[in-house]
Amino acid sequence: MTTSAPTVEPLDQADADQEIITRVLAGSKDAFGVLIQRYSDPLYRHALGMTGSPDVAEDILQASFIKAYQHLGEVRGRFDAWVFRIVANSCKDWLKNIRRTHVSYEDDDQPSSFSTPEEEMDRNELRTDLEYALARLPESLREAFVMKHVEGTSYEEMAVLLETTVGALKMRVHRARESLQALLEEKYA
Amino acid sequence: MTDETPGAPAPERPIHRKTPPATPMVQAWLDGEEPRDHLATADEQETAELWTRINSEAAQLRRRNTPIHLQSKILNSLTDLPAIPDAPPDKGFRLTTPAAVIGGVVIVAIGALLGFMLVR
Repeated sequence: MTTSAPTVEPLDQADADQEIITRVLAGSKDAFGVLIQRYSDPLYRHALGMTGSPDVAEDILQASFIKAYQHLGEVRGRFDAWVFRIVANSCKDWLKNIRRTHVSYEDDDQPSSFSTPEEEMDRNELRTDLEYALARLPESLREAFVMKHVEGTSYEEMAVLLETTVGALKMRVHRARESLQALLEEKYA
Repeated sequence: MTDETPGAPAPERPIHRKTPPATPMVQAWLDGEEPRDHLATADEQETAELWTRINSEAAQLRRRNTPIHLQSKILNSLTDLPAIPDAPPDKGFRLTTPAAVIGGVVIVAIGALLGFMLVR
C-alpha cells in the first residue's frame, strides 16, 4: 500500500507490520505512528470517497486508528487489510445513520492542475456532480466503484480486502457504472 | 436528478438515456482488459468519451492525502497501551463445589455399601 488503496503487498511488508505491532504491544506507543503514517493516506481517501466529507473522513480515520490500537493484539494476518475493514465498516455505519443533504469538497486545499479558470470551474462542477451521483448509489456499489475508480485498486486486491469474489466485485462495479452514467449523462453526454 | 432525496439509492425505473449503456466491450475497456481502439461502434466511442471525463475527475480525487495535522492528532489521542488478548481459557478439569459434594456423597455411599456387604 503506497500511493492509493491498500495493495497486495510482498510478504516482507506484512512481516514489517507484524514487527511494529510487536513493538507497540511491548509498550512502544510511538511505533504505532509508523503504521499511521504508512496507511493513513489510502484509508483517508477511502473514507472521503465513501462519505464525501473531509471532516467525516477525518473523524472516521481517527476513530478507526484508535480502535485498531486498542485491539492491536487481535490482529491475525495482514494489518492493512484488518485496519481497512475497520474503516470500511465505519463508513458503512455512517452511511446507514446519516442522510446526507450536501456533498462538500469546499475544504479542498489541494493544488490545482487546471490550465485556465474556466476549465477549473467546469471540472469542479463535474467533481461535485460525480460526488452527488456517488452519494445516490447503494453502499455496496459505491464502495466497489470508489475502490476501483477513485483508489485504483485491482479486483484481486478488492476481493482480499472485502472478502468476496472477483466476479461479484466486477458485477458491482459494472452496475455502479451503469447507474452513474445514467445520472451524469443528462448533463455531460 | 435534482428532485430525488440526496443519499437515496438510484431508483429502479426506465431511464431515457442520452448515451447508450456501457456494453460488455466498454466495461472490459474500463476494467483495463481491452484497449480503447477495440471499441468499434460510434455508441461505444460516445460512452467511452463520457467515461474518460469521469475517470479524469476520479483521478483528481486519488491525489488527495491525509491532512497534515491528522496523523499527529491520532497519535496524541492514544493514551492507554493496547489491550493484549486474554490467554485462552483453560480447558482442563476444574473441581466445582457441586461436583465435590456429589463426589463425596457417591464415595460415602460406596463405602457404606461395601461395609454392609462385609458385615453380612
